[in-house]
Amino acid sequence: MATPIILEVRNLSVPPRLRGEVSFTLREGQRLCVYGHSGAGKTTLLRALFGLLAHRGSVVWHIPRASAGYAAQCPRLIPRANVLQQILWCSALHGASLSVHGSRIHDLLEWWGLEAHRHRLVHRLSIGERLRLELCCAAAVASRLLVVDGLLEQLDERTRRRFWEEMDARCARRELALIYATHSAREAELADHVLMLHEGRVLAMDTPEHLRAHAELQAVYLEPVQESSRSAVQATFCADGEVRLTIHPVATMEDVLQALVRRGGLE
Amino acid sequence: MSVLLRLSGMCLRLILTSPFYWTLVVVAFWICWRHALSEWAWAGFSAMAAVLALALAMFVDSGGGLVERVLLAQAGYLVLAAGVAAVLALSLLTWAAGVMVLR
Repeated sequence: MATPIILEVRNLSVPPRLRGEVSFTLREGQRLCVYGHSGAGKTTLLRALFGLLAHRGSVVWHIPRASAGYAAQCPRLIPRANVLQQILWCSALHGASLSVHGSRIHDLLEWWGLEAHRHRLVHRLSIGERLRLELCCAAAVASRLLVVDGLLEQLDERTRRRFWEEMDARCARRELALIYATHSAREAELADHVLMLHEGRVLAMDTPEHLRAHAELQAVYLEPVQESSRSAVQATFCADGEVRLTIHPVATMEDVLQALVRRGGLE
Repeated sequence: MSVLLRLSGMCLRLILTSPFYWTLVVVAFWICWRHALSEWAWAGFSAMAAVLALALAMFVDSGGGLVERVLLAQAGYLVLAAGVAAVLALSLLTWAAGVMVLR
């Protein structure tokens, strides 16, 4: 039996930002990445899916819209409310009444590292905490579909890894589908399908493996992928037996250790 | 019902924590006291202040983030009902307070 469809998009365009026509079908448990450089039309596409922008073409939701959570690039938090109220009110808007002392709210705050700030007002949170709160609000209401607009590459490495582990598990169980927009090729590699946008036009839509094989897409996709996998760390052996490491800002300890292992500097 | 109550609580908090609302209420109270207007005029002014403060919180604060959330969740009627309930409750309270003070 075919996996149930969540969202069908046919010939969607939002002139003048998104001039090309976008068509795709999203099924339960699928992960779709909207990939492109800044100004490619990623946010425009996501906002049009939710009807926040006037568009041409059709968007058919096969699930209730209230079961989809949307984390926007610029957090749209409720003014003059604390962290706990943000989550409770967001879920109330989606028709769910979470208990203030329930395990669900506790789990969410714990998972997103916001438990210590539960009574803190939004304007007293750091930018990173606001991003996490925006994602937490979206995750609280996303029972069938989670849409994340460009926030993942701004998360710290630990939270991002945990996020992808959680998504792997939930998508494998077909509990949740994911649409995320990114300009990070490394992030795009984690999707089942990548919709590639470039200056408001659709370049391709395929699996990451097939996109890497397309010669004409190399300038937009393959080079950044190679760049990001070429590594954030380069290890070179000096004449005096020293190992010199060039570490790019995105490097993690894992990258450093892998670079050393590759060059035989570590066993 | 619990969702409606929670959203009414949200609207009440947005109104009561708004400096704009309190400014309007103080001005309205002064006008009513100075010109010896009835408590109904006072209740009307305070209801108007509450509606304006709520609209400001939804459409202007946080770049209109709240109204976008409402549109995303397709919860327009729910929030409208919750907002009306909050404004009515607040107007009743201010009317009662006005009756005691202005008479």
